[in-house]
Amino acid sequence: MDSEQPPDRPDLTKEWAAQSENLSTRERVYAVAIQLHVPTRVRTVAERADVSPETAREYLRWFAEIGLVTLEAESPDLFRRNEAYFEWRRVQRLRAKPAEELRRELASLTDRERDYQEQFDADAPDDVDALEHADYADLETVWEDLQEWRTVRRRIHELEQARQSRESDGNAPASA
Amino acid sequence: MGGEKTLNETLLRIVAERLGSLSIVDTVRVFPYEKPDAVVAEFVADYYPEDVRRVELECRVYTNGDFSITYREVRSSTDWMARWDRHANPHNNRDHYHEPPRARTDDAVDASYPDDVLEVVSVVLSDVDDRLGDVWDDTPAE
Repeated sequence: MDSEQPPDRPDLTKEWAAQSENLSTRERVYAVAIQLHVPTRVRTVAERADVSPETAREYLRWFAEIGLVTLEAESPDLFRRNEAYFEWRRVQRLRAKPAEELRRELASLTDRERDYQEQFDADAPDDVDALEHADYADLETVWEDLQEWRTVRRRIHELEQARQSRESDGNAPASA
Repeated sequence: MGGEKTLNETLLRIVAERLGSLSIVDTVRVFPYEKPDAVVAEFVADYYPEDVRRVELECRVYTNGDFSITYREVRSSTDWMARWDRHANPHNNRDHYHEPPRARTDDAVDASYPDDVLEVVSVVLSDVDDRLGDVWDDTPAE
């Protein structure tokens, strides 16, 4: 060991593992469930969440009931993340925010979108050929920027959805 | 190579919370203005030589399983970077690693990561642990 080195260097791998061990069963299965981007068997979920197959099945059925995952096939049961649920939940959370906060967020996102439009000299990310810009930065960085632009556009869309659905209710939102 | 994929915000908030309770992490920013897809964890400087101005770990995760995690030491000269990626690309396997110190597109080598992103973070942190051991050796005394 180098003597100049701080003696109390942390062990991040160990800290991360200790965190995992302290998670509740529900947290473990949930963290796996939100990553099920392909139809997945209960046994696989159980292994990844480090719980028994019976426990995994119980939670997955409950998650399917609330719509967080969908049951894609039976015997063997295959579960998959339900994208519509997460979209719905994002909009619901926005709806619960004060109108002033939504206005501020929308202004900030609109500014950000203008930044991307200027950076790529285009109206929308799909109009951009990443290879044309890869001279100026790494290809990976350009893809990353375009993907972030898509996220900004999605957030703008969801904010507008939240505002519209609130207006059509004709009253202030309940603090959900 | 972007294609239609959505940011996994729910998972990233879990990652942010967990990174935030690591002893080396000073602050965590969730989807900051400049990086709307990223969770950015900034490390405390105490474990690094003076030449290192800032250290950050940047995580992006998508609902199709894609991710990109970047470790960056911002230095007065050239930054020292490494990058763990899962995404379709013309240069390597879907799972690949951009080697330090530059982590450019050309520096990519094929890799194989666990399915679960929280496990991937563990792999990354293990590499960061190794880096914490090496970082003093890499910095010549002036």
